[in-house]
Amino acid sequence: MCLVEVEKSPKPVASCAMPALPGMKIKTNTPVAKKAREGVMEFLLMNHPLDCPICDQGGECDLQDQSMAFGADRGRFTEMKRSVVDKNLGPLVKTVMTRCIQCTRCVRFASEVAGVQDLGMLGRGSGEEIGTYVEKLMTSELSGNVIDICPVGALTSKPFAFKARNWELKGTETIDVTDAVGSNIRVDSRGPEVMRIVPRLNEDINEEWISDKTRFCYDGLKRQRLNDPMIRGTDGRFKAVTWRDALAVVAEVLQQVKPEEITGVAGKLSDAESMMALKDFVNKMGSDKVLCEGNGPSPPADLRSNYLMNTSIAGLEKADVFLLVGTQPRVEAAMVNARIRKTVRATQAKVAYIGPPTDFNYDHEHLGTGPQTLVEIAEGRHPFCSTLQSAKNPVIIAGAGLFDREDQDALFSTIETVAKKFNVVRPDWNGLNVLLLHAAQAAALDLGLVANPTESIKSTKFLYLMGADDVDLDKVPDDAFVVYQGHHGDKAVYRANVILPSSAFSEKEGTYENTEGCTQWTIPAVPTVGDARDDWKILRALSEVAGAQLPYDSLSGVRDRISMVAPNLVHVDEREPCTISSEVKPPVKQQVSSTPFKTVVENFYMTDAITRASKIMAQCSATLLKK
Amino acid sequence: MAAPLRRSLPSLGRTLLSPSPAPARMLSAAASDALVEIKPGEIGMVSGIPEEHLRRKVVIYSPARTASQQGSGKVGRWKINFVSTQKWENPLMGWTSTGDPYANVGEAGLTFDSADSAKAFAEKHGWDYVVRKRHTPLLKAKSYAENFKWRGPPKAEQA
Amino acid sequence: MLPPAARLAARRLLGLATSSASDSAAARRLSRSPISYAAAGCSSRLFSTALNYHLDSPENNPDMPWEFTEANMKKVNEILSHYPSNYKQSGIIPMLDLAQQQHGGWVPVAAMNAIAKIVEVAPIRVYEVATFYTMFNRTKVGKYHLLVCGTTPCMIRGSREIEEALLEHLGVKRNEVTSDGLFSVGEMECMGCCVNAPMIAVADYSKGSEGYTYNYYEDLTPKRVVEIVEMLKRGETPPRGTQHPERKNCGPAGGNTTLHGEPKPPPCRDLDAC
Repeated sequence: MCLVEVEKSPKPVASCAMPALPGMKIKTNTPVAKKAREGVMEFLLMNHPLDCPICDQGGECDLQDQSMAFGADRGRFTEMKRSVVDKNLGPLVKTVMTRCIQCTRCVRFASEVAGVQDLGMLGRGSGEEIGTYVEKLMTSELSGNVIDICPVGALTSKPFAFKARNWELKGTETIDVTDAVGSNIRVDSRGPEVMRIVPRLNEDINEEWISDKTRFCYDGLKRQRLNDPMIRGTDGRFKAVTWRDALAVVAEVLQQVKPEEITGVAGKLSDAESMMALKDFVNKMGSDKVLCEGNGPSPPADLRSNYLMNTSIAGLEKADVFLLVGTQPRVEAAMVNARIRKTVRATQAKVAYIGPPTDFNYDHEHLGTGPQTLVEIAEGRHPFCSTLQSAKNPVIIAGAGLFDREDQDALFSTIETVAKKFNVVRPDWNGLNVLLLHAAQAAALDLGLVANPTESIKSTKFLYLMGADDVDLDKVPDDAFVVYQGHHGDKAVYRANVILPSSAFSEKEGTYENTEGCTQWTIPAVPTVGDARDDWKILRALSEVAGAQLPYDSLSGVRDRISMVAPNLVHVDEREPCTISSEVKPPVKQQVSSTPFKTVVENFYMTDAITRASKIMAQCSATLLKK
Repeated sequence: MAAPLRRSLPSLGRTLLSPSPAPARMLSAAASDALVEIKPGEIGMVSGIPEEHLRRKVVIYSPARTASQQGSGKVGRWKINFVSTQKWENPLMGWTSTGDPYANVGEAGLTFDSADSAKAFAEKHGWDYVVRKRHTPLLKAKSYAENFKWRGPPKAEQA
Repeated sequence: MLPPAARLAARRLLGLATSSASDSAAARRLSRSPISYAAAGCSSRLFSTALNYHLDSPENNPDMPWEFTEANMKKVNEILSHYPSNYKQSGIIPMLDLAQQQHGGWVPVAAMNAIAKIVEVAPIRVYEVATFYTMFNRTKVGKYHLLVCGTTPCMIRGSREIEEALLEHLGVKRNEVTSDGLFSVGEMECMGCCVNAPMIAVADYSKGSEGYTYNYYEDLTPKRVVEIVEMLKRGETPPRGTQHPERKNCGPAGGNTTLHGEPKPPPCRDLDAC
């Protein structure tokens, strides 16, 4: 396809492999070039089956496009086409290997980007095929990307197989909320249904890849959904009621509890608007116990630089030494991990890791499992110090799992000591990072949802869970009234007294801030299910019924309010660096404990209500995480 | 089939809407020498569009390149997303019904050459709009041969 | 895990490939229909090794322990010493060859894994090499692996008759091992002995990697090739090279017909004359 005619060259020249030279006369549209391209196309199509009508790639196929543009209208190959046995690459990627044209893009992707050297080109000549030789599933958290990479229909999405044709789909460019990276995605929907999720290019965040969780969680959006407001009856069963009744019941209970017994918990997937509304509402009711799950007892919310990835995801590429403290980026933020891997591959950057033993898909040095190692580095006793000392752009990444530890203040101050010692934070380079876990976390810290979860929940009489499923429900007092506002019937619903259905990220406009402090918006792609409403609207309605009306009644109103609390949240697609240095922090008196760091994300495929409801994710965790 | 139709729109849009060429001045609200002065939202009002659709929120964006390498027709152009989610499956046939006249306009019907012309169009109709940043690929000069380049003798620590 | 249907299909294909290969000589003569072309094409694709993917069997699975012997480990180190330590993967081919000699003529998947470990690459990189080169056998072969050249000059000079004679004498099909495990017959492409066509190459794995030989037997007749097989069976080593009584190496049969005198030196420019 890249063949061109070059003057004085006896043969057509492959322009993709030929450097342009001065004085070269290149003709791109001559009969010679055209015929040569036709010839190449004929060879490509020689063994390619003519099954476009039943091929999932049909309509978005590179080979189809090329064939339309450059191919002849007939082939001369009358012999039998070859056939290749299909491979089993796991529950996500469907293979029809007969369609493969041996471009080896998937092999290169697997070994270069995903870092799983499983795929290879086997055999030779017309018997050549892509495969794993031994039976092996593709256990990469990025394996779904080979579907996009494949120019033909050899590797297609297994969950999407035969579900829709791509020209029926309407793409909505939005962002992902299953982790704190905020990958840019396009939600492809047909009518009221999300059919698939594909990545969207954003060089600063996810480049052109997305993780499997992002790509395949969409079937969770259709299952276990909460349709109607429900109240638990005396028999313990839920009964669907109208919004008016449900809100009236909640408001009535609210009047009966003391203000300080009210607790609001925002979930992992909450957008900034709803968290703002929740905070305003709970505060208006006279309580300050409003928090976001995953932020721990006293998150470092005073300075933005203390909980953000200050280097920015793209900035990681400039680093030459990484120190990962209690974080496993491969499962916590697969796209950040891909970026680290890219850096390691390109510049042989060194990676050191402190935390429980885990899988990495690049070379790394496991320094230790607990904070002790960190203290040793801070005191300059550890052999790794020399590496850090000689680093030009060192990066320290602390996991958000540390927020949950008792000694987190001491830990972060130790990390800061390390940073100071090895010149990690300089005017031209900020290598001190926190890798957050959930989409809501950064915005929650910006907005100040920072109450202590254990204390707030233990003493509560009225617990308002806004999509929060991972709070410790055993600690909730038996006589507490629990309202669950969310889109999925997940863990917390079992404890709830009232259910208020809300819309999921694919159905609402919401502001999310990712782990590097970049604010992004979701855009609704599909209508919400049943009688569900946007989170902030429910809170606004409830506040009116409860007699503490919130002062905004449109999305722009909420955003105006947010701009007063955290102006960075209204500047979409921008990263606002923190200007205040960490010098102003008060000294820490806490001692570092010796408890080793623990794994925060046990199951990469199931981390929140949507992914836990997804059948595909369940299959993945059953087959791919098997040890 | 639809492509030529769609392609013809931006050129129309360019002549009518972009602020610099002469014909655009006739419609421009800002220009004092305009023949016809159009205030924001006026076109919407006279075009017979139901009142509830006059104050809409739209998102102006430039479609991202597809994740696979094909189909670059929409890349570099600008679209209006009407954020239309009023859809349901019609119980009669299972087809998708919609209550929104703009449901199928955005992606399929309107294409602009620049963000400015899309903005001008939205202003003319009196829509609230947000323009989303366009992300372009970062092109790096690299060659496939580099993968197989001789990377020198082993480093001292490896040997 | 391959789904059962795919597994079955793979087995069938394996059976088809070996059976159609032996029949193909007959089939080629019988008909020229596209179907028989396809059968021949299919078999020719799979002549030296069976499949491009691995199927677990008791004698060939990744869980099998496999190591180079101590003597061979020395050779491995010698091979590695040829390459810079950051380019160890250059040694994959010689090591596969060594493994093949050690393991009786074929490389099990466990051996490939062992090599991958030595050269510090992912196993798939070794699989890629082993499947690419047809001289690496990934299924069991006989102690004497007889490879009949099937390229045009040999074919014209009767390589098909040679192969038929071999197969008939040994009572096997192509790529099948005789019941005593001594012989297997395969086909390969041009070995550069066209002058003495037809020829076979005998890879002798009976004495491990120390006594490994790879000999050509040229100028064969169906009768002579059977004699060679019988000699090998008795443990003798037939004289390698041409089997033509009147030929020396690859010279003309019956002595030179031209170039009788001393070769003239190349003309040299008289530099002084300039």
